[in-house]
Amino acid sequence: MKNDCQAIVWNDSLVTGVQVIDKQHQILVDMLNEANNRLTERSGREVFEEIVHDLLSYALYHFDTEEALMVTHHYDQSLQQIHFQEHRNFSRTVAQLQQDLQQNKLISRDELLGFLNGWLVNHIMKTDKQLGSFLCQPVADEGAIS
Amino acid sequence: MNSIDIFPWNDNFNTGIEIVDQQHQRLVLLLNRLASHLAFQTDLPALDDIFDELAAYAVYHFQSEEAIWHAFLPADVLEAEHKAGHEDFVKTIEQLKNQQGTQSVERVIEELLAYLARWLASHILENDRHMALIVQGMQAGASAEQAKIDAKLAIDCNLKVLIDIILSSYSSLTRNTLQMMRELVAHKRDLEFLRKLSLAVDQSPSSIIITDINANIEFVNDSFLKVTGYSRAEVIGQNPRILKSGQTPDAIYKAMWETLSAGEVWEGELINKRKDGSLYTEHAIISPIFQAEGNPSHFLAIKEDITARKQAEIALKQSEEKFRSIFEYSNDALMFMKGDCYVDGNSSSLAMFGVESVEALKGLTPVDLSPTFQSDGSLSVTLAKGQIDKAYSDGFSRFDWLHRRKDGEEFAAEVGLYAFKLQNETVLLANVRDISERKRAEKQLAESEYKYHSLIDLAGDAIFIIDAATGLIIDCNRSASNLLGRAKSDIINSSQTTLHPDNQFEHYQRLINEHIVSGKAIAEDMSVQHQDGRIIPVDITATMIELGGNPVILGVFRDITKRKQVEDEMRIAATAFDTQQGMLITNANREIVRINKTFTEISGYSANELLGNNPRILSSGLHDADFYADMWRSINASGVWQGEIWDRRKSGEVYPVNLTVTAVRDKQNNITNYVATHSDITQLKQHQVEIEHIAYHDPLTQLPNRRLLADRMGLALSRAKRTNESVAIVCIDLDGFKEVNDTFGHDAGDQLLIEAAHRMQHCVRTEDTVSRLGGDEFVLLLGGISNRDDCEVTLRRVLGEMTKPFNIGDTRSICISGSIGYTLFPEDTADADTLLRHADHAMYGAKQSGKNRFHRFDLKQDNRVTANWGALTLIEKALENGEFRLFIQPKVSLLSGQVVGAEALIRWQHPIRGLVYPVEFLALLEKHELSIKLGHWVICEGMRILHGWVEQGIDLTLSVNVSARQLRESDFSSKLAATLQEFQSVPPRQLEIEIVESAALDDISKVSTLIMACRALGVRFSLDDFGTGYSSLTYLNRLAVDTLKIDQTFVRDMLDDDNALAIVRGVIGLARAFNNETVAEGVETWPQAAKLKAMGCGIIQGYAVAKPMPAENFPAWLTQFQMPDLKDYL
Repeated sequence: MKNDCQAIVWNDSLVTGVQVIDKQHQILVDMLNEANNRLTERSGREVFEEIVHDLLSYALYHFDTEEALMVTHHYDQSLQQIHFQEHRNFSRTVAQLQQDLQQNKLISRDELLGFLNGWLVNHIMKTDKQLGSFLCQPVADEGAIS
Repeated sequence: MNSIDIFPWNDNFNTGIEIVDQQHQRLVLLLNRLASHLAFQTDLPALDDIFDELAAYAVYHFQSEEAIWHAFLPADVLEAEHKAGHEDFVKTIEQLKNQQGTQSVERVIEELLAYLARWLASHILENDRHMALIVQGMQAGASAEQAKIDAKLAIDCNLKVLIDIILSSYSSLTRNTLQMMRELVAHKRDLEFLRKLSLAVDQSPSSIIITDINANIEFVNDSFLKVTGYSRAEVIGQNPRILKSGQTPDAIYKAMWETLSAGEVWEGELINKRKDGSLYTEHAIISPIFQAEGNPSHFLAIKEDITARKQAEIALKQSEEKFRSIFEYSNDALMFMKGDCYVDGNSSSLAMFGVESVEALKGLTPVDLSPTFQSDGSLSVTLAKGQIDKAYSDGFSRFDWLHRRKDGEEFAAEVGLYAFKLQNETVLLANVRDISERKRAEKQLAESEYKYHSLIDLAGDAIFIIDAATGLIIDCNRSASNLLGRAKSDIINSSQTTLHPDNQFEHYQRLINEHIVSGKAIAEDMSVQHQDGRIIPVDITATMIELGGNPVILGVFRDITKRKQVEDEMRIAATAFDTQQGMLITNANREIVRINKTFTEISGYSANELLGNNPRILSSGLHDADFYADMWRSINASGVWQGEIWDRRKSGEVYPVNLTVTAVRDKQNNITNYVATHSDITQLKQHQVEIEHIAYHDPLTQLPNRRLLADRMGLALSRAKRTNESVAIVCIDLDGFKEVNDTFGHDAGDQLLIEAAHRMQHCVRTEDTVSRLGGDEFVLLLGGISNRDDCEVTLRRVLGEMTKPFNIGDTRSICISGSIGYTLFPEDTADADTLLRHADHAMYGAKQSGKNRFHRFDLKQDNRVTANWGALTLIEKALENGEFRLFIQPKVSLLSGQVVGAEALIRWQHPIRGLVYPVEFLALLEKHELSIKLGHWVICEGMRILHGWVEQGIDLTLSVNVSARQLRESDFSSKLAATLQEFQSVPPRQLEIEIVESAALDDISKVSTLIMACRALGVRFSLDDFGTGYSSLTYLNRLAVDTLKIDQTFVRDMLDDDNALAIVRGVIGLARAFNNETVAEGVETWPQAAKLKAMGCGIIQGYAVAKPMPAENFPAWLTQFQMPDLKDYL
């Protein structure tokens, strides 16, 4: 059953152009790959716990970076709201996973992988790239963000 | 009163006007009455009355006269003159009256009389008469002028002279009359006095004799005659010496005459003789009587026959003396009392009370000679009054009394009070007997009797007194009653045969008789039968004694049940001592006093060789002095030491023993002995090595397993830290192993694993570790690495070995490869687990990159580590920036509907993200130091909120959540104590610590100890998420918590899910059994609350009541909360 999902290889479609964001995005891609690798339908709670733990860390750390950038650079308010909302939803889902784990309810491997894939496609490839293009705009007095 | 008319009315005084004449007569009457007063020397108030009456009547009379004159001669000069005369009279009377103070009454009256007489004469005879003539003339029809002329003519000029003469004769007549009348009155008075005196002398009961100066009797009275028997004729003219009896001492007569000659009164007693010769005693007062010129002319003797009185006096005196001597010499205190005061007392009474004299006794009351309280606690003053009143009313009263001497010493007394009449007065004779000696004796007797009874009764041995003749029990003590379980009354008078078990009496009787006869000390191995059927072993000592002349057996029975037990125990102990374990006992000086057979067998030493020696004779020499010092310290401190120790047999062979040394202490807690149990564990040791090997090794490859790997890693890491060398942690996974298993079967797979293990071992140094974690996962620990190449050389060798064909079973050749990941410590400064994970991670990398290769873990590229690290940094910063908040969720009692407490729930108030829930960050901290820091912040913040509540008067419990990791910190309780100390206003009971059930169960003994320690500080505990952790009853019992919180998942599901409902019901029941409070968490609806209440749950928490709210909103919420009636939701 292992390896039946192809590992995601980092590629241009994922690049936002903002180095710090991209580096963090790669973490998520790694996590997704590792989950893909390590999880089987019979995987024990420990593996899930480790993955969920990592996702929680990631959500805190990464969203903080992005959101700080949005605030600092006065990203469009409505876009900011949409963006924030997606982050909140991600966090809430991971938190739910964490809670379920605590109550010994294990999510299925496919569900977890599906969720992470969906995030990759819907958020990173759309919302984050949108942010990336905003941040990469040359700004007269701030210079380029690299 | 005698009265005289010194101024008799004469018709010549009449004026012819009737009313005037009547009034004149009245005035004359008053004048005469005044004269009588003077004559008979009346008193002043009567004189005043007369003055007043005279004045008042004069005024009345003058008005009558003036009215008449005015009617006939208005405004006439005559009328005015007349009127002036009247006024003059009133004024004069007034003056005379006022003279009373300065002049004698007689003088005043004389002047008054003289004035009145003159005035009456001139006024009536002249003025009034003149006026009357005028009036009469006018009445007869004459004019006023004519009438005046006629009247003038009618009163002759000579008449005036006549009036003066009359007046002067009246005046002298008046004075003489008065004088004469006065003398007459005085004379009458003297006569009366003499008459009375003569009667008195004659009738006096005393004899009266009057003699002349030569003692010739001139007068005797009747009493004299009666007393002496002489007639008056026989004594007049005689000398009183005729009465002389010769009994009166001459000295008395001498003294009498000397006194009388000196002109003084003599008084004395004489014994005289009557005419008939009988003697009588008389008391005489003899006085000389002096004449006006001063010489004595007579003697007057007044004598009284006192013979009878004298005899009575003597009798009285004798009786008094008799009484006195009884009174005085009585041993009892005798005292007389009047009212409640002592008036007299004998010498015994003075001695008894310590009063110095009868004078000092006088006026004291019994209360003065008593303590304030009597022995029964009553007030002496009240009791004394009662007894005294009783004596006065009943005639006597006898009672016991506590008296007190003047010096303060108290004594018991028996008091009798007897009332009797003395000279018409009821007095009390108080008879007081000091009975303190008697009391003391009584008390001593009672005490000694009590002592004897107590001794007998309290004696531990049962004592029976048996009538030797009848065999009946006469008496027994309490122990006897206890021994038999029968009441004393039941035992007494029963036969001695009932003491012993049925049918055994005769046997015992014989033994006891032998014992009595032989005088042997004790009849042993006897028994008695208890009421409940038990047979109680006793020793009996029996003695034959005499009691009231009858032979009785005094039997002392001693219950030896305990001794028997001890004997049995000792027998058991002795048997147990000779057990398969070696036993060695020393005294407190550690000298061997006893060993058992087994010890001899084990050690090879006989008892004789060891007794008296120090056990160190057995030591192997393998342990240093510190080891033994520690051992003895432990024994002396805790009373016991247990451990393995190497000893040396007599043969010189060293052998391992499992040794337990126990200190034996006496009741004073002094060590008396040490007991060592000693088992030879040579064989056990060997066995243990096998077991350990199994426990730490993989049974298939005999390689160290995960446990041993962890040990070795710990050692390797600490060595690396010391030596500055690196350790490589290497994970090896065999590529294609799964296929081997699938294709060739598990046995082949196992063979391959064994072979792979061997090859790996050949690739590394002996001090390195090759371990198998399971499946095809191997871990190598390579020490002494100085650089990456050192390590990679070995890894290449391993890879090479793995690719060599494996010949399994029937020479089949199998080809596989290995993927290796490694990390280097301390370059990678993580803990052992993380290092393993890193190596594992790197191994995945190698597999990803195409297998049969090794990958080194690159810290910098490990994004996950970065993410974790980054997240932790954010949380730490948030804590520093004060971005954490405690939200408050109330807990409500289902019984009272009142808010009873609240839970503090952590929230992260993120400046950008807003409220972050703990589920999003708490798990990240679980294995990190930061969780301790945050946990501490939660407790402090909780206390700060509680402090605010205390100030606002909110007395509620606030619970805070503490993680298992925090709880297990060694300084948790001391830190908690310090925090409580910081908020002294907050009672510790208001703080509750919630720990998750599963966390508590992780390390139950440590956690339960901690809970105890914290509860000792006053803090409450609750077990959170209860129901999820599979607590057993034993565990729950060990966790001394106050509250169980039912996990919200069960509460949420309970109305739909029977299992959840059963769990909720179970938890409530469990809580009740352990006397815990139940809090149901996550109560979202009132129907849930109603159901929980129906099941007996005490408290709820959840959205139904309130969502968690910022702490500052809580007080306001509290005031408005009202619980709905849950009946509506059932």
